[in-house]
Amino acid sequence: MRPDVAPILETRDIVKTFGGIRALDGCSLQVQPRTISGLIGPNGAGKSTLFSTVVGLYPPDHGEVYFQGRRIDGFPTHQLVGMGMVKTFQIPRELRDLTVLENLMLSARGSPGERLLSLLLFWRKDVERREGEVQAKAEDLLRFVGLFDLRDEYAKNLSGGQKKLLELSRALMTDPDLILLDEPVAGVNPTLSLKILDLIEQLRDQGKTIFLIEHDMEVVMNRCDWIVVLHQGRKLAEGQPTQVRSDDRVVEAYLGA
Amino acid sequence: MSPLPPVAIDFVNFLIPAGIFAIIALGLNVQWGHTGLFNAGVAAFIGLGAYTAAILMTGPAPATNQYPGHLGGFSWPFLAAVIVAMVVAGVAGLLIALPILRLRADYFAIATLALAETVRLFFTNAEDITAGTIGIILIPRPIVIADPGLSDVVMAGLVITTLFLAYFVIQYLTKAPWGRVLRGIREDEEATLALGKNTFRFRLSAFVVGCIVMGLAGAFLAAFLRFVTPTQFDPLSTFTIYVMVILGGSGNNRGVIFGAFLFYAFDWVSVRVKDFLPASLQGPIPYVRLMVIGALLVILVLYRPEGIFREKKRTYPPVVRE
Repeated sequence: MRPDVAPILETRDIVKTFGGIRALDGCSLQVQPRTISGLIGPNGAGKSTLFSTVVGLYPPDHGEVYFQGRRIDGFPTHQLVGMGMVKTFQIPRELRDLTVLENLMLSARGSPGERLLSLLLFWRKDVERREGEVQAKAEDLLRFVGLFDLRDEYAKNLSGGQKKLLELSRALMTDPDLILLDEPVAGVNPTLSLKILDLIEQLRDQGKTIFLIEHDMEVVMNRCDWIVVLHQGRKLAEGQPTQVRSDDRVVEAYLGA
Repeated sequence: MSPLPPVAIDFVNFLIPAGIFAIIALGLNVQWGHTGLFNAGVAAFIGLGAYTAAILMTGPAPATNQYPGHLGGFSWPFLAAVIVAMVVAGVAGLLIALPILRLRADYFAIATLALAETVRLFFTNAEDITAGTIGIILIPRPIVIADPGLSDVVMAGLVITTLFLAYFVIQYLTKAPWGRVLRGIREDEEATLALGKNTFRFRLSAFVVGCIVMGLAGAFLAAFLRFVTPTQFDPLSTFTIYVMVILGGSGNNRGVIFGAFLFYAFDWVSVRVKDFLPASLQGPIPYVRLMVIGALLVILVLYRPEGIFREKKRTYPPVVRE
């Protein structure tokens, strides 16, 4: 049975339409803290839209979103990142003409050197000290994901799989409690894919919550603690992998007869 | 009689406008080169700086038979006028950016172009304030020197000093984490937002900083030329600044200064080439000049779109741990 703790993320009756398409049609679901939760569903089920809506990139037309018990729908994305929620993109959105290290350093929270006033009033010591901390943290993360040797390479020159690692490590720079990963291993070779999945499990063990979209059933069934099935913009079913796998509605809607 | 040889005066009169345009290019580089904001109204912010300085620095200018007169008679010192010129350009940038900064890049460009034309029409038609098409005349130099040659030399010294100051400030800001976020926005605004940056605020501050620098340069332009007219601030002048920035290398502060000087050097040479040509060939020279600029720009964009100096890669030596 599902552990009865307060969810880290909850959506209530979310509706999001694009023109005549109801991408989300009354979507209500919960994500428990310190889990790897999977979001599955056929193409067009509204998975990526749900992620973008949750992190404030698309405001919902209707419904409520709660993060750590606080209502957050309508909050701007940058504020949500500051509260500890971050999303990666399905297709890596690396900042092309910045180096790998710069991509990470940019993502750190609370750099005084990002404020013009701090810079112009000559609080340089503060700025430089924080930059040192940020860089040390970025380097640790690059070692963690195995990109340290590419730190000074332009992000645009990385391979597809390396860009996935960059997305993940960049998101981790923001010190998130909840990480929304949109297909973290899609198009990644099997070896690197295993590595990314192991990293994700390590993150869960460190106390972070992972909510991920994935199409590879083997990955979902083996790695997720809980699975939510989305169909036509709303929750069709949820449960532990074994429960979901044997649910007739899921089999019919998604897994195929 | 000026104590300086004509060649020196000539050179100084190259340095001053080249230096002023290099300052403008630095300002545009913050907006376009670093942040990717396509400001098509650069002329408006130079013009606002220039007219503000002109109005504040001139003595009383009542209407006469020959001259319509303009708002003036303040006779402020240059430094005070420059500061107000920067404030006026910066506030104008802030006020126009607030409503239009959320627009997509192409609409943003159209909106800023419209602003520039509006400002120019204001200069043309608000005759009581600006003396209309004739413009504001008899603007004093920052330091009044009777000898025109010496006056130019002092002006050049001031312009080059200011260029260095502007360079150091902008280089410092754009190398700092602030500039890193601007470049992130240029590469992918939504991704930068998703990483927790308030991209609107950064775009706004970059735009205003650029406008302030343009206002600064405008004040110098007014004091150098000693007159301002609306035609100086037509859309072509905005285009010229873009040529300098793209030529030198968008995103590279030293590059855009080089671009401005190179453009002016070409201008300077092409004007003087005329003297060495037979009279029959002198007529088409101004047009040939523009054609050559156009052709060079096309070649540059095709074969070296990043400009002469590409943006410098920023690397950090690894953190040393105890």
